[in-house]
Amino acid sequence: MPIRVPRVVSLREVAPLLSEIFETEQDVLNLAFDDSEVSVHPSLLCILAAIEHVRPSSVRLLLDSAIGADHQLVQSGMLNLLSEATSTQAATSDPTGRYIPIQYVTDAKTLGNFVTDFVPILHASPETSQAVSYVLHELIRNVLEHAGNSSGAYVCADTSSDGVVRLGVADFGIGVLKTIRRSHAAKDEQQAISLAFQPGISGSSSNFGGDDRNGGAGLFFMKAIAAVSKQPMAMVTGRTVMGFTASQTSAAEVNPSLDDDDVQWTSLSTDFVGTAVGVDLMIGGEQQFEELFSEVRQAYSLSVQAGKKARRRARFT
Amino acid sequence: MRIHSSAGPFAGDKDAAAHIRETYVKVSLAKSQDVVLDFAEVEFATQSFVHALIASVVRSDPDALDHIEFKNCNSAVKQVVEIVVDYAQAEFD
Repeated sequence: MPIRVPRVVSLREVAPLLSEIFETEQDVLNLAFDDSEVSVHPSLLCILAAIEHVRPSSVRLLLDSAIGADHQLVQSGMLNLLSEATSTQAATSDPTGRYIPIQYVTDAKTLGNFVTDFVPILHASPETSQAVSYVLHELIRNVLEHAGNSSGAYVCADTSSDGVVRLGVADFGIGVLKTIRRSHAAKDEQQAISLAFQPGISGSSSNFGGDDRNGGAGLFFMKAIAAVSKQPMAMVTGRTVMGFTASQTSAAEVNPSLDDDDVQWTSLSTDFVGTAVGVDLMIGGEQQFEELFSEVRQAYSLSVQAGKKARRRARFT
Repeated sequence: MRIHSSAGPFAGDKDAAAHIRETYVKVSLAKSQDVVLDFAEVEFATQSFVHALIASVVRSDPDALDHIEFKNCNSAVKQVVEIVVDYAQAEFD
């Protein structure tokens, strides 16, 4: 019995859909999509791509009839990526500039090329594009560093009709629990995720504040950016889904701990092998990218325990 | 040191940052020479990049900042540099 994918799947709706998907114990995931226009969060597409990467021919997209060139499954590249689909349609360039087709990024160079080549396609505002580039760099770098022996990550993005840029990244690595446990005690995936988002905690070092290569701040920055731009963020790893909802009050709330955030935890019945992150971004017209970082900086300063104020300042010329 | 030459307009490659740190920043400071990190043409720098570039140097000796010049930083890069400089000097329990 195929799973019917709703026509619209926002980031908040990915968790319940994943629960349904992972409850099936079949070797092949049969996912039925609407033939007409669909809007599925790119993070779900990346998760499906990662599953397919680990188990080829295990994800099957079902469509009742031929779909148009502007269908999301075409424009996102999913039809070409998955070997099992009941409909085929050659992708054509997307004149609306809404999609970054799903890409497999393997190292810093391909990441850099990806950001340079594809972010402009989104036709987002300059401020949003900067934020998108920043988030992509940090998210994928995080993956490339922490995923373990497996290499690479799937990344996909699109722009919704109201101007929100939706990003998805998924790897098929060792997952957050194993990564964090390399240097910190974590009793379960939920605690591991909470630690991973806490500033100063890095899987590469048991020292608070990280080491010379990792400050343990990347995921916290991602959350802060989502919080400041009042957009959601989610992480899937193993059998746990973390869904972060930003406060919609005028003042951004960036808490050091997920325990103090509006977070919904969802348990999956089977493992997602790896880690996936989804985040929505929209930097408003009046809010500049640098202003966003000013707010992030304030949040970070308040979040990190400091015995004394910084004695030295950076010198800019 | 022109950061753009090693890292491009989106400074996010930590390996590049670590290389600059080890071969230029630390070497120069050890020789009591001033360090100039020129961010001209760099549109943004990730926190991870700047951390790999300077955090350990600042953490081990905050006075080193008196000998490090961050040049031609746009506002976004400045914010990230200041964040890293701040937390590199923070004390963690």
